[in-house]
Amino acid sequence: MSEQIQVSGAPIIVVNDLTKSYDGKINAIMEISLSIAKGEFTVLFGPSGVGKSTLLRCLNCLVEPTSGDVIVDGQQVGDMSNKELLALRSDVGMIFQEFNLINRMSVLVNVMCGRLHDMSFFRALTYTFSREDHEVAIHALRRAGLHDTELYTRRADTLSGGQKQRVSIARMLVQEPKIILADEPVASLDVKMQHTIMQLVRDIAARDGITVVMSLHQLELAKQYASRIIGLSEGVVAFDGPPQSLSNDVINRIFKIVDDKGVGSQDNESADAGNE
Amino acid sequence: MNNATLDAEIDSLIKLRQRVLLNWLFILTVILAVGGYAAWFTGFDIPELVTGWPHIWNLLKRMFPPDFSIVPILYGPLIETLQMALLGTTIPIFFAVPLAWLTAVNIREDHVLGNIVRLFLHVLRTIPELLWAMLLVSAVGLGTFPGTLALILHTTGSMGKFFYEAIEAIDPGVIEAMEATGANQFKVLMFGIIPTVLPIYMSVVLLYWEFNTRAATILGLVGAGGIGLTLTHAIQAFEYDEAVTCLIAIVLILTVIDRISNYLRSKVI
Repeated sequence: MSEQIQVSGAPIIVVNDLTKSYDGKINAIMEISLSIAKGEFTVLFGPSGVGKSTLLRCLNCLVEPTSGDVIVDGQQVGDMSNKELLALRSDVGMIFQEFNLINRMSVLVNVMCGRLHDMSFFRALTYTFSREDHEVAIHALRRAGLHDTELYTRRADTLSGGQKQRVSIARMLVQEPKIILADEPVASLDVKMQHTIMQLVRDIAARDGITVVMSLHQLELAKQYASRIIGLSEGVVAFDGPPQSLSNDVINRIFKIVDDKGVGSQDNESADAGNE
Repeated sequence: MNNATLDAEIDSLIKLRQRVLLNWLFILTVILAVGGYAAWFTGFDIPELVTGWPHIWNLLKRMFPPDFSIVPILYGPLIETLQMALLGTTIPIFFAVPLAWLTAVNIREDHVLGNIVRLFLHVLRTIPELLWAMLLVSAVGLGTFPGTLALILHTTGSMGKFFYEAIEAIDPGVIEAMEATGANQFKVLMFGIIPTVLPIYMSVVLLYWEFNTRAATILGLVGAGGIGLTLTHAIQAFEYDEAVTCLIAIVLILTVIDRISNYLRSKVI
């Protein structure tokens, strides 16, 4: 395994020989091993369909690995009881390419959903949130850059793309996560907003000491914001190191620009699509 | 491309077109044959309509003018019909919602239970409410109770199907996002699923309210109460002028229900 860049303690994520195959035959990721230190901003880099989303989702067990180990914050994810898994997920924030907000509900409720794990049965049944939930949510929305209180009561589907991603960042913030998993968080946004959101995530992570694992397909963004880049190609690690050592040669290999035109990558693409 | 291959290309294209036309011809022939056979078998006979005209005219003469003197005694059966429809629509909600949740494939990993529930719903809805009413009348006797029960059974099956299909059509991303926060299945249901399917559910319930009002009017034919029973009695007694009054009442009440239902639907969506 290659060296870590910003080692500030023991690794918070360890992956050993992780394989995920869909339908028993298509390998989305193959025997991936890596470890991520606390506080790192890791970008999983590569074209669509190389298993970035799958790897990301194996970390909080939204996708169950076919074989191999995932150890998050010292705990074996595979051995967990359902209760332990839910507790782990509440410590791992996640943001998505399509934001995945509840369209018909208000911005505030969407953000407070980040606290669902600790919500009582009765409160969930009656859709009531505590005063503290509201305070935490408003604080998170402000941190995510939404200061206009008029927005808080609007339905989530009335917002613009950038605003939606801010809301989903706020939802993740109220979880007070130790780790942020981000699945192509800026792929649906315009170029200016891409940088705004990347900066926002980076600043939050740096300030709170949160580890970030983000899948990304834009080279420039990866180079600019990541402290470590893991290049994936057809389900295996093709590069692992700091952004400045990512040579053109490696990039061409990852994107298969020079060699064969991705005979095997077709399979992986459909596997990834099935997951999304 | 040289001429020979071009010719071959064109030939194969022409052949393909001919085959498509032949297929259509074949399908048309099959439809006509089946239709003709059905007409012969069921004794569908257009000349009969013409030769039987005096009988139809006679019937119409006995129908008009309608006998409005029976209107006061229609209120009871009409209200019965409306109540049957209301119960037959609201009670199934309590069964259909949990059953749909048990069988929606995108949130269920237990396919055995899911398939059993699905089969159960399928049986409930493939038996028409009129048939349910017939069976139940012989089981529990005449009246509005077997009628209401018939509506409940059929509607549970149909609503259940609409309900689980609505769940299956949800954007999986929202469910995933809820799961990623560490929410358990119940909370995913409350926050990820219900807000999204609620307007669809309301629309389905309104549809079945209309549908059941219509169905409740004919359940009387098999002795299951309501305005249909009054109508059947009138026809059996050859009091066609009274039967027409019943029909007018049915049309009026259905029109009113349709209007109310449309108005409510425009409010929820």
